Amino acid sequence: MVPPEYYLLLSAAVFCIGLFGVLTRKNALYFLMSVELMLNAANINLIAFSLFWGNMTGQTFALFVIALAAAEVAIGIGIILVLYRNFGTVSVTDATTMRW
Amino acid sequence: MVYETIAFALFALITLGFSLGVVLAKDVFHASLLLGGALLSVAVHYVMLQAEFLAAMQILVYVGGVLILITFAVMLTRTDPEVSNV
Amino acid sequence: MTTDETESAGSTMIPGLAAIGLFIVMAVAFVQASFGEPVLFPEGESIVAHIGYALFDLQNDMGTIASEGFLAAFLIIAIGLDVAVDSAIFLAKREEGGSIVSAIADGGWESPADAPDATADTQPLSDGGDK
Repeated sequence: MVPPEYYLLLSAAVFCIGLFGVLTRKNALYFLMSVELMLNAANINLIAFSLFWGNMTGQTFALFVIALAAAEVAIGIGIILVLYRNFGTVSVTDATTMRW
Repeated sequence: MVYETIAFALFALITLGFSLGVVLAKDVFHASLLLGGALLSVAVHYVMLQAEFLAAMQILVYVGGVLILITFAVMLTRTDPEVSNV
Repeated sequence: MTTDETESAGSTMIPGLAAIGLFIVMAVAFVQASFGEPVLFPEGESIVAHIGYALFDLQNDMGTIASEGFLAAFLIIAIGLDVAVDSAIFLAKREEGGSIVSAIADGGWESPADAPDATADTQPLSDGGDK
């Protein structure tokens, strides 16, 4: 296999790109997509070291991460739609009150 | 071995390019489409790591489910260009 | 389509530098690390079957690839996904009247007349709670 350092570097780069998206964007939809990128970076690491050590734990755990990411997006979409319905915007900087 | 490294470098470049496109795209719809490309190229990495089942799950769950949901939300929460281009 | 607010160059500079700095720190750590010899999966073993063994704590009886048991995590996450479904439905539901699917069908607006047009500024609706 390709040396695991390469996969670590790829995963770190994707994670930092997702972090950059979370830090710079104001649109809540970009937040969701950047979090997906960061979760994928973690999954790449899990699967790369699963093969490297010949152990199934990494792949099984990555399966759980995929399932929880799907649930997280479903909840996130629901929150964004409620945000849009109540504030007329999807910008995270405009929603500053806890009730309306 | 050398071909494996070349394939890895190629798809790593594709993954990084799509990921950068996601965070740098001005249009949310473009960003969601680029996210689909990034997720597909991550699935290719999974195949190269002998995780074919996880690659199939990645495509089914992410590209088939998550991406559809995000595209759905992008279209439901659209605002007018005059309002948003400030 | 929704476009994000155009940020000034100064607002993306600091997060960009922070992300690049974090990447450099991680890259230095990863390049200096040594991982030894790879073990890899044994030839001729079904990976998918071993994922199933790991999910249901069967690997001691049937599997040859080492793994931890995930049966408890599997059941806990099953409950977590049920909670996710219920809360998604709760978020999509209107408080007074209206069916669950109406929030999906009309894009969150009560009626097409309420949706903001090009001339009117966006007025936040307050049908999601008591004002």
